[in-house]
Amino acid sequence: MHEYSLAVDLMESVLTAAAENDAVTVNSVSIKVGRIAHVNPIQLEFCLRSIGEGTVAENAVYSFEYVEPEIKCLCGYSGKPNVLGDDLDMLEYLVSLVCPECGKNVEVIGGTELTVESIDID
Amino acid sequence: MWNTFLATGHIISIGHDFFKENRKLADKNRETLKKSGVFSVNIMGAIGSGKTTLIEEAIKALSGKYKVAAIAGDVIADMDASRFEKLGIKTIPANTGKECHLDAHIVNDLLKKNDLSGYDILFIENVGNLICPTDFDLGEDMKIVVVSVSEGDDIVLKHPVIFKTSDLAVINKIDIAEAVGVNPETMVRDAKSLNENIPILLTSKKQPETVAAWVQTIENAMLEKKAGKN
Repeated sequence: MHEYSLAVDLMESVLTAAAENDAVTVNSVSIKVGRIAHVNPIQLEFCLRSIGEGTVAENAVYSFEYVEPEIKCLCGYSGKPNVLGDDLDMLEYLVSLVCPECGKNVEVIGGTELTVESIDID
Repeated sequence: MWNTFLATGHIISIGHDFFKENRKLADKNRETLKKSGVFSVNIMGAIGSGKTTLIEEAIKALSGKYKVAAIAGDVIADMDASRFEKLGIKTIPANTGKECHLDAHIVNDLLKKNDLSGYDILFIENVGNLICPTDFDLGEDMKIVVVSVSEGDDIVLKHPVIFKTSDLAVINKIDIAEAVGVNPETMVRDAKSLNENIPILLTSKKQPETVAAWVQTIENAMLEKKAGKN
């Protein structure tokens, strides 16, 4: 929903790091997306490509990695939820987010990030 | 989802989390609001769910007893802000431009320009949207999600994150539930299935007792906060 403005911030971060390291070209950008963040990597990539035109990141390849949520339960459990497949949609995923030990609803304490991990430059 | 690529040059680590930046700024806002002694509520919900009307009702009921201020988030124009202003309270318009949500940055700027010391309650009306605002903590004390029965009784399950992360859910316009073929109890059940501890209010502007319960909930939350209970 707000991929464009996020992409603007992301690109700024990429181009700043590229300039600081005297990059001639950015070959690739590695991005981590929390599964619970409302960010669609396909849309984000489209925006990044569009914003990156005419910059050193024009031909960059983007790689996205989902970060699974971390949960915390009143029963004391803290950690990852039960492993779920990659193809689950957001709704199923969230509804199924329950404590693996006691089965209750949990507080989500991670998996909400959008991080530019690194860039590969020449 | 995975694109693989071959590293050809050298890797520069960045590790910049954009949502974390927002959360850091939200913590600053929280600190500023705490120092000013203001209890802040972030009201989120779709366009037409009745956010502005519910805030208006709360302002009318509470501004005689307390010092009330409001931030009105609109994409453009200032219709909501002028509705609050007419009630004689301090109103801070927040045009977000292209954005579909308020973020901690916008609120931070507004708090810098507007000293809220001595105010008791700050209503922050978010942009009409059930998705985007959930990614952006503003530094508020209480998150409220408002949905109306006219959005359909599957609206709750379609937007799980906002119900998981809110402190109060309001199901509004219950007077027209029958006309739109919706059972509000289904919405209550769905909200509880997502967040079993979330308090839920059923409201309608046409049913004064439900408006009174809404106002009372806000007042109680503020008094509890002031008494240091949360």
